[in-house]
Parts: sequence; structure tokens; C-alpha cells
Amino acid sequence: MTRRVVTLTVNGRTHALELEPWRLLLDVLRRELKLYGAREGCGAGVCGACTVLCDGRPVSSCIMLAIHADGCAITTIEGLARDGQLHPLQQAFLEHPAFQCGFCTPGMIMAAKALLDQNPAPSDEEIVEHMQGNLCRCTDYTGILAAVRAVRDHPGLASRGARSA
Amino acid sequence: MRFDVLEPRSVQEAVDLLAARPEERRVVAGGTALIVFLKERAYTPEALVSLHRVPGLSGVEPEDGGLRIGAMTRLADVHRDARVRAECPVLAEATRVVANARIRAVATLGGNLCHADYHSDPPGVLLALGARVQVRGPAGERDIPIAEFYRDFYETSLRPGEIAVAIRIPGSPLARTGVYQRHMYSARDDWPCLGVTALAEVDETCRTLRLALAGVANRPLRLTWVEEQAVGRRADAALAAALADLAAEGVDPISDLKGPDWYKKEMVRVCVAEAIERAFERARPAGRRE
Ligand SMILES: Cc1cc2nc3c(=O)[nH]c(=O)nc-3n(C[C@H](O)[C@H](O)[C@H](O)COP(=O)(O)OP(=O)(O)OC[C@H]3O[C@@H](n4cnc5c(N)ncnc54)[C@H](O)[C@@H]3O)c2cc1C
Repeated sequence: MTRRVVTLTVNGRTHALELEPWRLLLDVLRRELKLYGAREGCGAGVCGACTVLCDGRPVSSCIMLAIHADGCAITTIEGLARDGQLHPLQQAFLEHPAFQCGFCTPGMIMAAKALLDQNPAPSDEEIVEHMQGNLCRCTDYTGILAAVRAVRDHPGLASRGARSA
Repeated sequence: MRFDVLEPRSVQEAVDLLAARPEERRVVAGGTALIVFLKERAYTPEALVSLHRVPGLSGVEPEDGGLRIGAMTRLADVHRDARVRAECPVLAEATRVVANARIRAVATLGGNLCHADYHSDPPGVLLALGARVQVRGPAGERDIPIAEFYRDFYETSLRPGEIAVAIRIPGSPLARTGVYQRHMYSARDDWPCLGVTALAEVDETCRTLRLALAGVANRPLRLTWVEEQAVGRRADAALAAALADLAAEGVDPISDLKGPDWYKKEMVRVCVAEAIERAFERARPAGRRE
């Protein structure tokens, strides 16, 4: 089957990739671009471990055709830190702490980023409603929700690190 | 999982591509339902006909006092739309609760309807509203009332080569005050066990009632035998309870992972009573609250 050129701007870098038409976005990010932050959990859009942002919208990259992301700006967990400085959400997840094994964490953080980018001051209820689509099977959700609330309440949280030093 | 993806630039080209080999090709909109089915080999098409580059298939517009929603309008854009919220809040509610934020950001209203899952949230609401699906196919254009759109589990009355292009919702006071509520058996982002739509027009008495259920049969079900019994009776909690009994007695729910038949029957009784009572309350003219 003829391959297609699919152009993806991932974390600010533009790639023109020659892909078979059936390739899924998650598979392309991991195999072609070696970005291993987004994971395959359920493979069916339920668990959120593969969450990335596509033109700012959170998507399940495990069930999205790469062709459907042609021309889009994709943000993955690898695109959040700047100059060795963690993103406020990454910093908050560390401090609370909001994870144990870390499998779901990139998806959790990307889901939270999608929410706060769109609505910087969500209510506690809105945070729960938005984050309920991301599953964690080993730590508890209270730390995760506390980390998201902390960034909502103090958006500059991470600047306590080297950036402000 | 291997297939080609065809990318037509117009509805006519999409119809032509599909009609050329209807058995081997399948429409893809957002892909959120289809890709899962392809992974499981439930369908094995040789090619997908993607609508993502076809212009003019998304957006909400006023039409004949009602609304016309393009088939490719994403669920998140349906429930955030100011017109939908103002004129058809019951549909905003039914699209806002679907799955999770990632699915709603990609899944389309047309894809939701055409997937024809029996516990889908929006179809029951659209059935109660008397909506129609506007389709284009090799023989031209036609409208299919939602009441005739569903055949069976995952089966619609679309003919080979036909594509849904829009959903037409007639303008009606019922759309402004209706209630949609789901009964959940597990987590909130899961499919519902039951989806209940209740639309009412009320003065002292109930003038009109429309009632639809998702999750009980192979397709969304309109409970006309209950609706008829409501007309002209005092719109209160006692009537809601009596109607809910009629609803529960009249349905023969299918058992599935969301609950066995007997459980669903009892939940129909509980949820329908609550939904009708809320619909009466919302529909009551201001100053006549009970
Ligand atoms: C994890 C998960 C949870 C979910 N939970 C819910 C839920 O709680 N409630 C609910 O209602 N739904 C739920 N869904 C289903 C979801 O609503 C559908 O996946 C989605 O709406 C399908 O839209 P799509 O644009 O992605 O369609 P696609 O996946 O692209 O297509 C779905 C089907 O419709 C056909 N099709 C699509 N568009 C057209 C068209 N314009 N004309 C003709 N045929 C067409 C395709 O050929 C395919 O058979 C869930 C899905 C997932 C993955």
C-alpha cells in the first residue's frame, strides 16, 4: 500500500514522515520519533496512558490515525520541560507525590495541561470531571488531584527551582 | 490491522469512493469507535474513506427554527456551542457526558450516530426530539428520521455508499427544557447502564411527554405507550411514579455487563420517575413551581 507523507510538528520540531496509511499516532511517536513518554495501556481510548495534545486538544493517540494528525502541532510529555526546568505540573506531581510506578503519569500530566490551558481556574469538581478519564492502578487519586489543584492555585510553582535561582 | 486510507476532498468524491466498493470500504470520521473495532478485527475493510479533508461537514447552524449540526462536528464542539446550549440544552448534556475529554475532542456526532451502539447517549435524545439524519448517496440526498435510522446492534438503515452529512433537529419548546440523565453502574466515564430522555410541555397538566431509553434494547427506544398515558393529567410526582411503573412493566431489557435484565427493569422504574419529575419541573411556566 502506498505510503503517505504525514507532517507532524512534535514539541516544536517539524517532521515529514513517510508512513503506511494504517499507522496510529502513538506508534509513530514511539517507533519513529523515539518518544516513549506516551504509553499503550488499554489500546482502546479508556485509560489515558497515551494522552498527547493535538493542536491543544487532549487525544488518545492509541486510537488516532497518524494521517488524521497531518499538519497538527503535537505536544508530548517530552515537550514540557524548558532548559532543564520542569513544567509546573511535573514539579507538582513530584512534590505531592502524585505517582508510584509512573506508567500513567505522562498521560495524567498531559490531561491536566489540556484542562489548565483551556480553563486556568477550574473548580475542584471540574478537575475531577476532567481527570476521571485517566486511570491510575497503583497510587491513589488524591495526590494527583492535589497536584493539579496546586498548579491551579499557584501557576508559578516550578519556578522555585533553578529558573528563579 | 492493515488498510488503505482514502482522503476525498468533497462529499461527492467520498460517496463515489464508497459506492465503488461498498463491501470493502468504510467511512472513518474521528475513528474513536472504528479503530477499536478494527483492532479487534470486528471489521476488516480494505480501505477507509476518511471525511477529515471534506470541507463543510462541521458546525452548528440555525435551520427552519431548529438546528442543523454537521456530521463531522466533534462532540466537544457540540456541547460547547452557544446555540446548542441555548436552544437544545438536552443535547448539550447528552454530548457532554460521553466517554472522556479525549474521546469528545475527536469523536463526531455523525460517527456517534452511525456507530449505532445501543447504549450511546446522544441517539435517545435525538429520537425524542424527532431529529432526522441528512444523508448523501449514489441516488442523491434524503433525510432519515432517527426513528427509522437504527436497525439492530451496530446497524443503521444507511444504504451502500451513503454518508451522513448532518443532523437536523426541529425547533420545539420541548428541546429547551428536556432532561437527559444516565444511570451509571460503574465509573462516570464509562458507557451508561441506562440513558433516559424526558421532554415535557406542561401547564397545570402534562400537555406533551416524550420519553426515550438507551441501553435496554438493540437500539434507542421511544416509550410511546407511556407518553400517551401522560397527556391531560396533573403533572406531579405521583404521575411521574405511575408513568415510570408503566415504563418498567413495558420494557424487556437485555442483560449485559452494565446489569442483568431484572436490575435494569428496576432502574428504569427509578430513573424514569426521576427524569419525568425533573422534566415537569423544568417545563413548568415560571411562577407555577409546585
Ligand atoms: C473509551 C470509549 C468510551 C466511550 N463511551 C461512550 C459513552 O459513554 N457514551 C457514548 O454515547 N459513546 C461512547 N463511546 C463511543 C463514542 O461516542 C464513539 O466512539 C464516537 O462518537 C464515534 O465517533 P467517531 O467520529 O470517532 O466515529 P468513527 O469511529 O470514525 O466511526 C464510527 C462508525 O460510524 C461510521 N461513520 C462515521 N461517520 C460516518 C458518516 N458521516 N456517515 C456514515 N458513516 C459514518 C463508521 O464507518 C464507523 O462504522 C465511547 C468510545 C470509547 C472509545
